Amino acid sequence: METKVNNMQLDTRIAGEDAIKIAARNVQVYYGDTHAIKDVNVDILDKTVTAFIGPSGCGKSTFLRCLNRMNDTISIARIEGDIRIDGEDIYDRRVDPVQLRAKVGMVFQKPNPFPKSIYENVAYGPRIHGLARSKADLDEIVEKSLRRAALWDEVKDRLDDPGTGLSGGQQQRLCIGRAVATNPEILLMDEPCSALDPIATAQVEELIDELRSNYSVVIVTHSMQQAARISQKTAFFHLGNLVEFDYTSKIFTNPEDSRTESYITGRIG
Amino acid sequence: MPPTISISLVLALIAVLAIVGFFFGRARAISVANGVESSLHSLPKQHGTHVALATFVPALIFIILWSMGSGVASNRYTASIINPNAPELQLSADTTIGLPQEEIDVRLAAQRDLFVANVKGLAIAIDGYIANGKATESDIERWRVDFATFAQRLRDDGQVIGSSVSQRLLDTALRLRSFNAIIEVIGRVCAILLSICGFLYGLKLISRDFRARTAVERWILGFLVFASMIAVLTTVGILSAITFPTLAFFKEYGILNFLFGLEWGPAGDVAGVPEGPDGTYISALGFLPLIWGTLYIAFVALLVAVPLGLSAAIYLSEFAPRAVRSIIKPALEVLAGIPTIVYGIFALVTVGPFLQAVVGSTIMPNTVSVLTAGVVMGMMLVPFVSSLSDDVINAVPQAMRDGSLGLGATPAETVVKVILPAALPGIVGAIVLAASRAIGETMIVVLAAGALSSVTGLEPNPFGAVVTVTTRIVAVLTGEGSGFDSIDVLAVFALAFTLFFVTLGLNLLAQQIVAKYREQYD
Ligand SMILES: Nc1ncnc2c1ncn2[C@@H]1O[C@H](COP(=O)(O)OP(=O)(O)OP(=O)(O)O)[C@@H](O)[C@H]1O
Ligand SMILES: [Mg+2]
Repeated sequence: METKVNNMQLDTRIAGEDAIKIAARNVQVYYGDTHAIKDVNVDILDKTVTAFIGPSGCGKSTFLRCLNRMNDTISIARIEGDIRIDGEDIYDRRVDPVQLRAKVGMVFQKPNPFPKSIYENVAYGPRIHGLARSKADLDEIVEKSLRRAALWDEVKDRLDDPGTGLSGGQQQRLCIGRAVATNPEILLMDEPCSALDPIATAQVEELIDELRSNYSVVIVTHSMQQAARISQKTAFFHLGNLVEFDYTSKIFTNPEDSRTESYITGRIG
Repeated sequence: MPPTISISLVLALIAVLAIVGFFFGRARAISVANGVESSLHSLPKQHGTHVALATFVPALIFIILWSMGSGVASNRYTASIINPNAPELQLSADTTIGLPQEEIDVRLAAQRDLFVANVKGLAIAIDGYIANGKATESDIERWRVDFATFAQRLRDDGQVIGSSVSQRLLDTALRLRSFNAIIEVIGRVCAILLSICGFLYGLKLISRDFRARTAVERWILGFLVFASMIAVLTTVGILSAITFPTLAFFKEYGILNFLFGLEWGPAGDVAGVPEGPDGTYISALGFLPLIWGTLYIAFVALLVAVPLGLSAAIYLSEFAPRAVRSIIKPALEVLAGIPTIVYGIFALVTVGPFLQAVVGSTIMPNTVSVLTAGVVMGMMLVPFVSSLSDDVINAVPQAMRDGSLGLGATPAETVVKVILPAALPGIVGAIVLAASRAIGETMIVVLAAGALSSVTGLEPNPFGAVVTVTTRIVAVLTGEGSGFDSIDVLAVFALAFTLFFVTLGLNLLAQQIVAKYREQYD
């Protein structure tokens, strides 16, 4: 209830610019006995790029997966707390996780194209959600998505080749194209550029910046430069805790917490 | 009689030599190192192992090869010392009257084979008699003159010998025995010498630079290659054992008559000799009705096993909670462990009568039928299909599922659109393996498919009885009266041969598909 009120206040105050898209309160995640996420509170804004940074194993992916309930597929994972998207509790029993995931797209840490053709990989989401009325429609969606993923020029002549036959970086862009093809409102990206060369990275960053005009984007990254370049807000995780969450410029110039500072300057992690 | 050396003594000698070789080798390596062990290429114990291996492995291989060779040699020897004019090898005149020359030749050859078999049998019986401590070698020599009683004495001792024992038979057997004894002694002495040579050579090789470690590695490699060759050789052996009779059969009966014959009805013909009027065979030995029955039942079995098995696999690997999985999986494995004869009984006493009661006895005159056998065989194959498919479905990376679920697909959509296509080649492989099991399956069809001894044409009615390749093989080989060279038995070899190739083809196909599947996620 509290977030709802908050939401509305923000809505009226900042005229949609800084509207809260995702509100997480007291989120705990356990893998069996491992306490992977400890009491995390965070508000992720609409039409904003939010970066999650932190040392390996601190729980960035875990928290990201909470946001579209991908942790449901891990039998030993247990989530407590409250996560709302547009004011609606996504862990409510009435919420269909399938519907939720259509709205909250995800690009995984490791590229995972289906063993199908490039075209079929991108068309997969639109097909199951009935987004295209005709073959021409679908062709258009595929082309648009691949263009946005900065992959179109490389694959336009071989759309029928298997997606698994692409290079690692191309596969990752294919997965990005696949995710944007379903028109999500929120895009979760887990280290989308870890397998990309600087040129492809720049293209993906451009895409992210472009997506920001319509979507809320959450990106996990190990690159401080990348976080600084593309995000407006940054969350620093450490050992399952959300240590600091603020405007990116603030985090990188004037962090409140000494751990944040040490991490950014390369002393921990 | 030459002196004998028992095989256990030889083996013991070689073993002792090998053990001594190990310690000698190790000691020698240490002394060569002159106190600086790091100056050796290999550790002292590796040098020791090498000497031990050089001592016993070649000798052991020699013993095995020699005993194989000496079997062949003694066969040759027996054949060469038989006098072809001996009365035991002739047919009495009254039995040959009116027979064609072809038939006489066949019977003469049989007579000769029988004599050779009796000689070998007698030699073995005498060996056994001596081994039982009933006589010594010199006693046996005396039998040459006192031969009336010895046959009885051998039989009293429980030895198996032919019914007619003649002086000539005894002479030949005794000559064979001395020949065998000489061969044996030569072989065993050579084995011991070889082992001593290996021992000395192994010791001589030891030096600072000798790579005993690599050499031992090579011995091990050799052993591994040998072990895998055994499997290959077994296949080759099986194949050659059935190939020659098959070729003989094809020559006699005609390969096309066999492959495309629409009638199966063995009548007890003798090899190479058409018994019927104007040079035709009475036996009808067509392959088609049998392979028809086999494939028909296999098809029904797959129709049952594939949907059930695949669904079970999908449920178990994608949907079942841990607790359910931990119950169903072992249950399926128990199902897979039930001997097929039990399934056969189940088909015969439960499924067959049930089907008959359902469809009525006009459509289904017998409880045995294509469906009876097929349905039960299908149930037998369910765990087979499900456990193989379960493996391939589990081999589809979790990332594929995540990818699909992350795009907002339901679990069922994920299975149908991503997991099954990705696992399809593996699943097809599983189905092909199941098919080749269904084709080779015997016990269920013997009991539940029908036991007609002769059939004509291809039975289209799934409630009708059919015959299969395997049941006919069993029937002919366990039946009365047919000698091992009758055309019917030769036909059985041809059946086995053809069946071998059908299942081999299916297995190769399956392997091809599985190999293709493996490439996908590498
Ligand atoms: N499926 C799982 N089962 C059990 N423990 C898990 C699982 N996934 C993650 N963990 C544990 O949860 C903690 C957080 O993991 P997570 O993958 O979220 O880290 P991360 O911040 O994404 O690290 P990286 O930067 O290396 O990707 C780790 O200690 C990890 O061992
Ligand atoms: Mg991670």
